[in-house]
Amino acid sequence: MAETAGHWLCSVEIAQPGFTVAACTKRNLLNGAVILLARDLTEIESALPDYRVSFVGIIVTPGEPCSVEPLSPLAWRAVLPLPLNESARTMLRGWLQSIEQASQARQSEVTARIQHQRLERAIASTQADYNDVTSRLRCQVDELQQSKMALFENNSELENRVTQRTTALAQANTDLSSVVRELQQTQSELVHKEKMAGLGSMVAGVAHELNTPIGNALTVASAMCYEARTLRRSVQAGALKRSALERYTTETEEMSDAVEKNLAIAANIIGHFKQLSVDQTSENRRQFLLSNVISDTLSALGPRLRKSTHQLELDLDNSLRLDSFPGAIGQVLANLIINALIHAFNGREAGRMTLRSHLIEDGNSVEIVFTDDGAGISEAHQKRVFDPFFTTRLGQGGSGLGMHLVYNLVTSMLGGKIKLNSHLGRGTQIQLTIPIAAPTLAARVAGP
Amino acid sequence: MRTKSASTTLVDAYRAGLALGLEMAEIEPEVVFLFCTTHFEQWDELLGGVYDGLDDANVQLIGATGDGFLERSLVGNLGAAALGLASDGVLRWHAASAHGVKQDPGGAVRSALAQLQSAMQGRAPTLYFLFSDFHTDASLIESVLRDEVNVPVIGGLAGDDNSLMDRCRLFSNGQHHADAVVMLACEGPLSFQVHIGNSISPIGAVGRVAGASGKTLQQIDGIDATAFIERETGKPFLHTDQGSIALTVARTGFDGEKRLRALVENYRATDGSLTLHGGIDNGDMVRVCLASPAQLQAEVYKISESLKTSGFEPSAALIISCAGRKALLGGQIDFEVNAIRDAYSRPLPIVGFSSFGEIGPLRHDGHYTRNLFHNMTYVLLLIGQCNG
Repeated sequence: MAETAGHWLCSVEIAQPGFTVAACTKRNLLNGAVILLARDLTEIESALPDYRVSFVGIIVTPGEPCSVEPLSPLAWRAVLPLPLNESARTMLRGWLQSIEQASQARQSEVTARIQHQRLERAIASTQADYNDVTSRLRCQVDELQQSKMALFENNSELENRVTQRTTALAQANTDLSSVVRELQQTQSELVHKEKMAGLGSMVAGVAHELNTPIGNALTVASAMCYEARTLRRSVQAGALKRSALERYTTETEEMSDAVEKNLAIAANIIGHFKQLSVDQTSENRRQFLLSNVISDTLSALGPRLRKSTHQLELDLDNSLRLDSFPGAIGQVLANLIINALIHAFNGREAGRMTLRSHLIEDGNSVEIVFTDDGAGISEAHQKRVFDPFFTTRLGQGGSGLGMHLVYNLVTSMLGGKIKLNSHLGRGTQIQLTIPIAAPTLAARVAGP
Repeated sequence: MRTKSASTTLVDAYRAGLALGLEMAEIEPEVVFLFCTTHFEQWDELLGGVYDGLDDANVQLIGATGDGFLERSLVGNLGAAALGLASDGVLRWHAASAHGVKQDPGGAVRSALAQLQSAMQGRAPTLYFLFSDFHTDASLIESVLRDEVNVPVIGGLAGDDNSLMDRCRLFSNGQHHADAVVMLACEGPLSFQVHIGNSISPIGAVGRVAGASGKTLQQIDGIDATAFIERETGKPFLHTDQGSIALTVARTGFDGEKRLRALVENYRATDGSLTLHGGIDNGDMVRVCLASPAQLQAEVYKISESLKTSGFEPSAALIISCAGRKALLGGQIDFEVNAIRDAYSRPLPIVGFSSFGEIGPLRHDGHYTRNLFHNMTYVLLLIGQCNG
């Protein structure tokens, strides 16, 4: 029966119980851990020349005295007497088990070494990747740093530019405010000039009105002088006759009446003008009849109206008494009439204007409606009629401030409302709603 | 048919070979498939041990080194495994080898094929096996197998863990080879099934290949290949990405044909080019594939599930699994064996190796496609019975 631990082999010449008779071949010698019972080493060397290195187990050769010789850490040679006694077999069995364990340990060591080498290669590969990734990250960090610096520089430059632009903007704002103030000043001056222009126009009309009575008075006065000098020469010559004296007296009386009448007319005109000019050149608030203001205004515009071929019809409530600013109302009406004369009837010979005034039902306001049957105003222009400097006659004498002045006077000083209603080809209607009692200055400043 | 698989972790070449040979000898095999890791170095000793164990010099032997081996009872990084097949003469096996696969891949394959066809005297084989040195442009091997061979070819490229490639060996009968291709032809009524898992998901945009020369890829989609990969994955391609990042190649005009090309980072390339595990053609449309462990596992288990209901009764299984899959899974690829083993109630001999390229046809509409070369792929050959 074969021994259980490892292979117990022997050659046929020295067969022993427990050993398997087998040829001394490489296959048999290297098939695990072996106890080989051989006559001598020659047969082994023949089958396995490097047996000292490759053999694992115990080579037993018969002989005495007993001896043990290591061939390698895993191979031993033992010289034992045959037949093998039980003690020897027990010793060989335990010895072979130790060699098998040592062989397995060596196997494990080699396996571990190779696995270790494999792991080292894997780690080296991972290390190379790590270095590669680190290098890439460093490059990216450098790039990020550069980008950050560039961004910082850009930010600084941007901030400088923002500061410069802000300063420039502030200066521009200051300049603009200055320009706006200048424009407001200029506008105010222009509005004032427009007022003065209206007054000048009125002066021209008054002068024209005065021309007739004063001229008449002057002519009669000259005649009276002539008659007086003629009479004195007759007296000096002693040739004065009663009839001549009576005629002189009669004529002088008649001419004096004529002078008086004409001068009275002139005085009346001047009186009207005086009131009108006072009203229009000052914010003179007083109680007045609206019809008188309208009448005075129309008197001032008389020459211009008579010179035109257009008609102005009046439909006035002569009882309307206002506590307001007559100068402002006069200026408004004058501007509306002059504006119509300039713009409404271009190319027409017989235009028609109407001016109506009446008390509104609430009893607190009057309505003044000025209407013309002229060309009308386009919708686009209607929105801008009251804007300052809006004119369709730019370069032809229109300042663009007349209607703006009207709007300001009605809505501000008079505390009223103004409404424009116009259709192209069908004329224009301007409706003024004015409180009978104008607002006080404090109320005007406080606003609605 | 008698089959048996065995494995050993003995580090001594002869003793390891002897252990496997003795195991295989129990079934008196006609053919033995041998796969081992490259640490043995003493290849003559290994093969001598196998044949000493077999005690039959007429046994046909074919095999290759790999980045580990797979066997029914053990999946390891160090050792060897073998599968023996015995048909009692019903099947005839012919082995051949040809050198010069580095310089002329197509020529080497044709040379091996010619030897086999001569041995078969004009008869058609049922199945071919092919293993090749990794140092080659496998796309040129594919061209021959794809366009000139009309029976399925199963195989792969030898290798190790990227550091000991000069030790790559191919085995045919009692010889070991470098710079060579080895082939085995099976004649006779052998039933078999081929299952291939290469379903990792493409991501990103499709790019057209330009400037491809052999295994070197210069440009995709008008930019450097490296830049294209970085653009599509959002990260630099690293050495340790081998296995997780690949290109899927869609060849128009041939239904069901899909291949993966794994990337080998070329650290010396300053022009942004990349090296592939296998060539690619200019004009091919590719997409980047990013594999996940879960995905790789899922596709193997899906195959396993399909086996349970297929009704096919295998007598043995051969697995050729990309080393990149192993790298991605941290070496934990036992499931690639266990999933197949557990699909059957009776013991199924299984053997295989971690390859650097895989060869096999895909299953499409009830037929096998042409023979294709893959990367990042799991090839399972179920060897059936030899009763036709």
